[in-house]
Amino acid sequence: MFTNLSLQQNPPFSVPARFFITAPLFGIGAALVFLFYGSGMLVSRWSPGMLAATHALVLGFFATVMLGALQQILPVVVGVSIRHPKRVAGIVHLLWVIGITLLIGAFLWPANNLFYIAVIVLGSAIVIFVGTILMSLQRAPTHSESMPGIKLAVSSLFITLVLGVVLIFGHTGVIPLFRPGLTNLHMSWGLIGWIAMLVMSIAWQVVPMFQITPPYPKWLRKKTASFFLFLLLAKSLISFVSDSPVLSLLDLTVDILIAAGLLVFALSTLHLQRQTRRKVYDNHRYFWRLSMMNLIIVVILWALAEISGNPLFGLLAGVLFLMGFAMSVVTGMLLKIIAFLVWLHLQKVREEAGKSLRHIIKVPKMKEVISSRSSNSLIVILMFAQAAMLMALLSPQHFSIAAALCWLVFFCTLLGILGYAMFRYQRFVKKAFLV
Amino acid sequence: MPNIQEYMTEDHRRCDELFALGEESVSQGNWDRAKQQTSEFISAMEHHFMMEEQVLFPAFEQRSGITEGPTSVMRREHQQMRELFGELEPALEEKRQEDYLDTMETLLILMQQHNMKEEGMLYPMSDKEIGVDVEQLIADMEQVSGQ
Ligand code: HEM
Ligand SMILES: [Fe+2]
Repeated sequence: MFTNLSLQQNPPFSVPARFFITAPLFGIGAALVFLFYGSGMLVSRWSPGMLAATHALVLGFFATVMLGALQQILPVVVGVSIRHPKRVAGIVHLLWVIGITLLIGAFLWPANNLFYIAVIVLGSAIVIFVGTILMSLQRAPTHSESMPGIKLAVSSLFITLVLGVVLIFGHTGVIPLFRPGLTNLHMSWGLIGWIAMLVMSIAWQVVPMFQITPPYPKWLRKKTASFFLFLLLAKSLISFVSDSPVLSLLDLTVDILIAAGLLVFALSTLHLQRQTRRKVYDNHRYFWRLSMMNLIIVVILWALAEISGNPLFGLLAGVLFLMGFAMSVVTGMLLKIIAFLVWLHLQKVREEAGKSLRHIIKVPKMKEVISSRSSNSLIVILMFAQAAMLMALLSPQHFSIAAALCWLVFFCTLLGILGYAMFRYQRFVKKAFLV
Repeated sequence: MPNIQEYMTEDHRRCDELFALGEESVSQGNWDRAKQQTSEFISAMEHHFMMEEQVLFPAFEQRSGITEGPTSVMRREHQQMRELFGELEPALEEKRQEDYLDTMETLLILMQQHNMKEEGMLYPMSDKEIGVDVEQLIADMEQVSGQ
């Protein structure tokens, strides 16, 4: 009856690792685009630099980390693992990296063919990945609480892709560019359905467990996924019907409810963290706290944007959503996951290496792989980069270059930390085979 | 009606609290208290492992007919945790604070991802498989001694 249960099947280290090490490279790419275009990039939502940098971040950085992490945590949170993990990861990663690079290239140097090739390559990666995950979820032995959220998140990635493809046909002139309605819809599915939903589904499991807090309220875990699914569907319907005052009022209501949902999540996370039993210093907690505070500010800015009609508030909200809320929590998790995986897999290497070896070599523990000092400095750099980014949005001429440089430093530091972790892994494996 | 899910999850939470106490004492440099609390934590964990390895897992294996599946993974992870327990004691003896905290950090993640799998899948499945005999099973688990 439960033969599908695969609590054991951690994918090989190379499966998530290749995604994790790729992500900061795209981050560096985004920072370089920003550095090169400078303040000119921030003057319009639609500038080539803006679209290129946005996708280098949302796809190249965030989605890359999340793809790697999903393959790793699926066995833990829903009890299924992906079949043929190495092959799937190999194919998806290759198509993914090429596709994103082509898409960024197409935004910077628009050419119809480039857009189409990018769509085909990137689209295949997403379709294979989403299909694999959804098929694996079908085999899940029990109904885990995180399942609906994860299902919604990966489905949203697919919907974001479809809407992105339609937008591309707009860019290549096949159909009109439905701006800003369709872009906003694409953004909602990407930011809320994919990024926020995945963060929330993971948080329900990870925050209480790793920070030793009480669980999130049951109603929150049970209702959030359907709440957001309903709102996103409503938003999509509304944007397909032509404009009318009644509809824009309805749209506003939907936005308010989405914002309220995010706010409840942020507040309940902060509330749980205050009840933590774990009194030792753990910078992981600060990554989460920084993330949740950013999310609260995002909601406030979003409200200001709706009230004042000033697009600057909207821009601030969007940027803080990605570079504040998502960046803090995703990097915090990434550091933890990598350090643990290095230990876990090396433990296995040592076990397999045979009795004689077992006492000679010592597996590096998490803080030897990523020291508190390096993650502390990363969080400080992150805060600087966030502040610089805000200044750049308020006064592009003066602060764009500084902000771009801060992000460059941030992603290079992250790359260094991850690179060192992989180096420790490789060195150990080599030693184990040499002895 | 009692069930495995609630009973065992509660025991996990009890172990978590003991974990946090030992960690806190070491970070404050209170070594005597830390020794006491760490050994309480380890005995609580051992007791939990014993309940699973001697009562719950065999019952699950017998009812479901799977012996090489999830329970063998859980047993292996218990073994990995035991190895880390073994490293805590010398660190305490020699007052190596950083080493102790690092071991605890690694242990926490290992322990919690293990607990997630049990609470999310193994316990609900056991409740289903074992059905009406749950009460007896819990009584049997309570008989298990910690060492
Ligand atoms: C998780 C995935 C994604 C997220 C979060 C995302 C997010 C965004 C955001 C925020 C914008 C608006 C940029 C702005 O207003 O300055 C945008 C625009 C756009 N996205 Fe994406 N995107 C994602 C994936 C994709 C994919 C896979 C494609 C193509 C296959 C794509 C194609 C486009 C296009 C063409 C635009 C420009 C729209 C326009 O010019 O009006 N996006 N996206
Ligand atoms: Fe266990």
